[in-house]
Amino acid sequence: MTAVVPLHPEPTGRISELRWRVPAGLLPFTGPVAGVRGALGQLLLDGTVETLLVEPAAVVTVLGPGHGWRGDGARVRSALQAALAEPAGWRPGPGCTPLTSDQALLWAAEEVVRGRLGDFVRSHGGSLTVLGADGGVVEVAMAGACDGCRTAGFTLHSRFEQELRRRCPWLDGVRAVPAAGRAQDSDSPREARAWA
Amino acid sequence: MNASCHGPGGGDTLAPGVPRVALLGNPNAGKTSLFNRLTGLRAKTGNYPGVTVARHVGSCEVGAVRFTVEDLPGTYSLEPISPDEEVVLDVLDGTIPGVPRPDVLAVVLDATTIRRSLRFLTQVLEKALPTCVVVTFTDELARRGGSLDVPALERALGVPVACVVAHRRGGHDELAAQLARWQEWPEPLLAPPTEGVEQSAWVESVLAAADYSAPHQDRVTGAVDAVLLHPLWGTLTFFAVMALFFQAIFVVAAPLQGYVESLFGWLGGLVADHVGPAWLASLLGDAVIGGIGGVLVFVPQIMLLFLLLALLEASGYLARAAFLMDRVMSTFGLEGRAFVALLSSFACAVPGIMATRSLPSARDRIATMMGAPLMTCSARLPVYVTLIGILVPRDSRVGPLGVQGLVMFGLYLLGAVSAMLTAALFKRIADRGAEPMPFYLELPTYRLPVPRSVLLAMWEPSKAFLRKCTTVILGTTLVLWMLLNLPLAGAAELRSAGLDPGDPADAAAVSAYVVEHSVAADLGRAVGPVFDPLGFDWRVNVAVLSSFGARETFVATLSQVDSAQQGATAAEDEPPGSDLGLSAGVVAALLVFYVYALQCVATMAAIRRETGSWRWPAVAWGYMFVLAWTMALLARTVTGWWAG
Repeated sequence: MTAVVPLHPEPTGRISELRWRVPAGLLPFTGPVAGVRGALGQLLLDGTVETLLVEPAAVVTVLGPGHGWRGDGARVRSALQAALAEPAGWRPGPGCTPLTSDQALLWAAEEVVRGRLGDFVRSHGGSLTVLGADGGVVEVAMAGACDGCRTAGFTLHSRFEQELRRRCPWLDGVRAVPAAGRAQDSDSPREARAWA
Repeated sequence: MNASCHGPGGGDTLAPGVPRVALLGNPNAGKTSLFNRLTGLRAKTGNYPGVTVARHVGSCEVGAVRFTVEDLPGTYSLEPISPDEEVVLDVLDGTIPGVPRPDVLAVVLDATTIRRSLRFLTQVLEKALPTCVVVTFTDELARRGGSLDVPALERALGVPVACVVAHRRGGHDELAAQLARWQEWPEPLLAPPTEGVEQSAWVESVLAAADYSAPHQDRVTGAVDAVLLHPLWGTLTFFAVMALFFQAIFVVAAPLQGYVESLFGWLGGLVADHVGPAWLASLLGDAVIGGIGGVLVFVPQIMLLFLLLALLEASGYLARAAFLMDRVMSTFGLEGRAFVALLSSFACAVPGIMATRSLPSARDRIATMMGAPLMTCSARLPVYVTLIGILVPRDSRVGPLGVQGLVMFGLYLLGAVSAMLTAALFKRIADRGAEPMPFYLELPTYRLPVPRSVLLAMWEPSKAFLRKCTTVILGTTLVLWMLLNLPLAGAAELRSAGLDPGDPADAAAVSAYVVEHSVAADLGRAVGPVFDPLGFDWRVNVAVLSSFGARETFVATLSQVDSAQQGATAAEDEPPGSDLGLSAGVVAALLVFYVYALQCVATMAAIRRETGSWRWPAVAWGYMFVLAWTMALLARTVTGWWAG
C-alpha cells in the first residue's frame, strides 16, 4: 500500500465538470483517457463519467447526461482515488501526448509564476519568466526591477525553488539565466549607485 | 430598529427575514474575538432552551443589510462526545425548538493549526448550508515561519475565504461585506469527504494547493513552556502566580474600594441629614445604602478577579495550569478535564458545573459537580475580605507579602484541595476500577490578549454581580430590615425597659433594644443550638441564615445588624462587623464555614438542571453543611488553642 494520493476537486465553471488537482507528473501523459483499470473504468463505460481528461497536474471529469455530483460525486471520487494509486492502469486515448518529468516541471514552474509568488514579483516591478526545464533543472529569467536587486537570489532560491519543489519533489535545481542583452552579474554598477 | 433584535431570545423575537450567521470553529481559533468585533457591545448572553450551554447572539449591520450573529460553542468535531458539542450539531440540524437553523455558516480556522481544522470543515460542509471560511492568526503563522496562500485556498475549497487578524482592524470590514453578499456565494458541487483516507487525501491536496507550510514551534512558547510545564519549576511558578493573583486583588483594589466606600458613606450622610421620619432614614440608610453598599464595595475586587482570570485565560496560561494540575488530579483518580471544570469554578460554580459537560462519563460529571461548589467563587470574596479584615490587621506582613493576601490564598487553596478530595471521593463511591478516558487539552501558543475580549470577559460577570446586588441581595436585605425592626416597640414598652424614646441621647439604646427583641433576633436565637458550638451568637446566626440564598448577603446583613446595634453610629473605615466583638476563634470558624457551606441558590439550580433531579443538589447541600459545621468547629477549637 503506497501513501494516499492527495486529491481535491475545483470547479471549472461548468456544472457537470470538476477539475481534480493531483500531484504534477503523476500520470505520464496529457489528453483524453481511453480506459482505466478498476471502478473508474466502469464509470467511464456505463456513462456516469462521460469524459476523462488528464492535464499536467489535474484530471478533469465530465459527468454523463442524467448524472449529478450530489448523487454520483462520492462514487466518482472513490474510484478516482483508487485509480490514481495505480498510474499504470491508465490507458491514453487518441491525441494524447506523453508527459515527461521535465515537462511536468515546466508546467508546475509556470503555475508558480502565475500564482502568489509571481504576483509578489510583479508588484515590485519585476518579472519572472520560465525559459525551460532540462534534466530536472528549471531555467528562469528575472527581469525588470529584479535585475540587480539584492533580494532576487533569495526570492528565486528560497521561495520559487521551495514552492516548486513542494509540487515536484524530483526538482534538481533552479538556474537564473541572464535576460537577453544583459550581463548576468549586473551587481557592481547598480549597487554602487544604491550605496552612494 | 427593533431593540429586541439584539437579545438572544429563547423563543426568538428576531425579525423574520433577517439572515442568521453562525460562527463555528475549534476552541482557541479566535472565534470569540471575531464575534465581539462583528457585534460590538450589542451581544447578549443566554442559554439554549433546555440545556445550560451558554448562547451568544448579537447583530451586525453592513450598509442596509442586517444580520444576527450567533457564536456557537467551540468544538473539534461534529461527532459529539460531550453535551457542548451536541449543541453545535443540533443547531446546525435545526433540531432545538425555538432555535431556527442558521442561514449562513462562517467557519473560523486558525492558520497555525489548519490541518486539523480542515477535517472539521469537511464535516461542516457536509451540512450543505451556505458557508464561508474565516482564516485567523495568519500573522502568527508568518511570524513562526509558515505560509498560506489565501486566494489559492479559496479556489481549492470552493467557498469564500476571508482573512482576519485579531489585533488589527483589517479584514473585519471585508468579512462583513462578504457576509452581506451571502446569497451570491458559490455552493461546492461536491462536499468533501468526511472520513477515512479520502478525507486525508482531500486535506493534503487542499493544503498543497494553498502552498501551506506549517509553522515551526513558537520560540517564545517553547522556551516559556520549558519552564512553566516543568514538574518542579512549573508547579512553583503556578503557586507564585496564584499568590500574586490574590495579592493583587487586595492591594490594587483597596484604593478603588475606598472610593466606593466613601461614596456610600456620603450617601448615608445625606440620608441621615435630610430624611425626616426615623424609620425611613433607617430603611434607606441601614437596609438600602448600608446593605447594598456593603456588597457593592466589592465591585472593584470582583472586576479585578475577572480581569485577571480573563488575562490568564486569553494569554494561554490557564491551559498550562490545567495541564500541570492533570498530574495532581490523576493521583485523585480524576482526569484533567475535571480540573478545567473546577478551575472555571474559581469565578463562579455555575459555569464550573456547566463546564462538566465536557466530561464524557456521567459519573465523572456528578463527582465533579459535587466538588465544584467548594472552589472559591467570587461570591465568597466579599465574605472573606470582610472577615479577614476583622481577623488580620491590614499592615501585618510576612516578608514582602501582606498577611491578608496570604490568608486569602490559603482559603482558596483549602477550597481547591477540598473540592478535589470531594470529587475524588464521590468518584470512588460511584465507580470502582473504571479506566479513565483519554484526556486531551490543547496548549495554545502564548498570545497577546485582545483588549476588547478581555474587557468583555470582565464586564459580563461584573454585570451579573451588579444584577444580583439589585435583586436577590436587595430583596433579602429589605426583608431582613423588616425582621430586624419588627415587632414595633411601643413607647410604653421602651419606658418600662428604662429608655426614653423621645430623648436623642437614648436613640442608640432604643435601636439596640428594638433589634434585640426583633423577629430576626428570635430566629437567630432559635437556630442557636445548631451554631452555639461554633461560637456564633444570634447576630452572626442571622447573617449566616440570610446568606443561604447568596453568600454576599452575609456582608450586607452583618453591616445592617452592626449599624442597628450601633444606632447608626458605625465607625467609619472599619469593616462591618468589627464592632460585634467576635473572637478570633469565631471569625476563623466563620471563614471555614464559608469555605464549605453551599449557600447559593443559583448553584443548586444549576446542579438540578444538569442532573435532572433535586436529589444531587440535596446531597450537595447536605454533605457541605455537615462538612462546614464540622470544619468550623475544628477551626474554632484549633484557633482557640493557638490564641489562648
